[in-house]
Amino acid sequence: MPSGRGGHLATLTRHTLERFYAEVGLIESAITQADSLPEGDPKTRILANAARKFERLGPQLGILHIVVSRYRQAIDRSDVPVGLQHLVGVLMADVLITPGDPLINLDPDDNYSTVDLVDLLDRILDRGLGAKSEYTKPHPIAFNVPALDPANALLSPLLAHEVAHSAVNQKLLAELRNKDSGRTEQLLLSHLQKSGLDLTSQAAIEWAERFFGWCSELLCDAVALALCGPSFAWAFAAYLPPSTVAALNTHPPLRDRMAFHLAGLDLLGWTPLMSVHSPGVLAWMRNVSANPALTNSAEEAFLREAVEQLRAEIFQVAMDHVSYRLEPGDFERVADEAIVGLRAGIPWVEIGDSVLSTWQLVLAGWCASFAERGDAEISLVDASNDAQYNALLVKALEMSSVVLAWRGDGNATA
Amino acid sequence: MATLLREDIEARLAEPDLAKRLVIAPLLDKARQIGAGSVDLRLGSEFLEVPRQDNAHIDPFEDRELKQISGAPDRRFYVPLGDRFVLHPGQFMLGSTLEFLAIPDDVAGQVLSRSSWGRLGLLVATAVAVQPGFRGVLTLELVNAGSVPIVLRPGLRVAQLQLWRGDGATAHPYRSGGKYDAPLGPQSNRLVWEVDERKTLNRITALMHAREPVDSATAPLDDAQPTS
Repeated sequence: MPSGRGGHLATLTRHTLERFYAEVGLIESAITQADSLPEGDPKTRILANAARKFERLGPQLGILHIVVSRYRQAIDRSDVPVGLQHLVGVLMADVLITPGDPLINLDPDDNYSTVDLVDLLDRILDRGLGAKSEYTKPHPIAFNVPALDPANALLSPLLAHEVAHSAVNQKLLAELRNKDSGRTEQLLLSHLQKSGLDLTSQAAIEWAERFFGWCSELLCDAVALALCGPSFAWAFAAYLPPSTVAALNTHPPLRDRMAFHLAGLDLLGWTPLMSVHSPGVLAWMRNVSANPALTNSAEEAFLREAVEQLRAEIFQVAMDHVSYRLEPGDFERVADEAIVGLRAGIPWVEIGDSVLSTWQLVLAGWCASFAERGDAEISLVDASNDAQYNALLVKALEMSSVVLAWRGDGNATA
Repeated sequence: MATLLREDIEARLAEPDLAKRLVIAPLLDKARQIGAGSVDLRLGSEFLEVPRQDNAHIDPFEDRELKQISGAPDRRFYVPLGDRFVLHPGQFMLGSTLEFLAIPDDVAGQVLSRSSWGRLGLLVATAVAVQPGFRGVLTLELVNAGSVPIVLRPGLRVAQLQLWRGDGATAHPYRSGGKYDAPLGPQSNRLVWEVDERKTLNRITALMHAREPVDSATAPLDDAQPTS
């Protein structure tokens, strides 16, 4: 099987089964030891303990079976367009810390998300399996994409956010905490005191947990913005319209995130381009994100201020991490011709000597769509709902991969 | 009509006016692909496999939807560049060109199998006409007419495109009235779309096979009118 097609799920399964065999070996040893003992309490206890451990293996094995049966159809799948396969390969290369092997999962129950199956099995099986050895092969990463709309190129930047979770969990959140230098704790104490609380209170634990949850989400957003530029902010606004006012939860409110996106894009130098290609959408985003209040609670005030305090560090950690960053200057050099091609319905990817990259194409797709449909917030939804237009973009992504592979600048699938 | 030669093709590819430009994208190896009077086209990554079926026959003019006639839906699958698949003896499959074409309104063309493949038993295209104004990838009919399995890989140069320039641009380019609006992969049979002609032929058949003389004005299936 060619690399990068999910075959490492079989490797991980074998590795996990080895852990079961090891556990069974320990149980057998215990039984052998018990057999050598005279009848009595110690023998009974050892045998009872061995029986309990053995019974626990059944459900644990069931979990492994669920994971394997859920994702096995995604191995070496041939029913998704090559352009989408290429996009997933690009994300694996640009975002993941440890090498990964993608499983494109079209299960209708799933929405945009990614799951590192090594982490998943470790998390679940560590409760029941004693023996553990490090898994050193490429991690099978499930890319869950909506089954009814698997090849939506304009919404694909959402996958950049999702795949970033793996890197955030492994490394980036810890890096952010190192840069914090106790500032957040001081701020937390200050806000708690205003409410008559201190750092030993339950609220302190809950607020801190929520803060790190928000930081994780914003780190993923920052990675996606660095990779995809404005395309991520537009995809996000199209997929999660910020009109819903929600209670505080593990994710920052949508309007706060939109404000974060605008600040990040400004930092990355994208505001002039957005002013040219989508002034109406830009004005709408600014207007919506300027009014983010939810509950006016003390916790909300703390969270918002704490995030604001660390905003520059969040972007710095994200930008330092990605191996490829979409640059406004590079895009502007090819933008006009790329947009003309897409508006004409032609997926050309060679502009002079340059080959349009994955995220340049997606961004050109958004810009061409604004030029065709008009520059209003409803255009975001209309564009992402246009299956034919998205199919054209996916074809362009395929052609980009083909030309790069032919020139020796990349390979076709990863 | 004049055949476009290499110099004409290169000039058309570089035409500044997009409406008049010949687009063949991507053209991975321009020097090798553009011949004296044709352009080699490569095998794309998307395929349609027509499954074997147990129907006695396929009659596209039966008064049923073609999908019902064929029994099982075609299977669409993708093979990335660098991967391969096997076409077995007697197997029929639809593929498409790697290249996306935009044909100017004053140019027509024809896609042919490359002879070197034909001599191995692989039929790729049966002189497929390319209409002025066409945009999209071209569907290729892949048949292994030999007796040995053939390994195919996307990116192989399997077909060639010959082009002719008309005296002027057509007022009815393909994109405005054709069946395939910018196809991006192989297209399956669309005979079912030709409802008017099907009804007309069915009406004639009914008249020919009637036991009693039939008044054509009241014959069944006489609601079809020739398309304008």
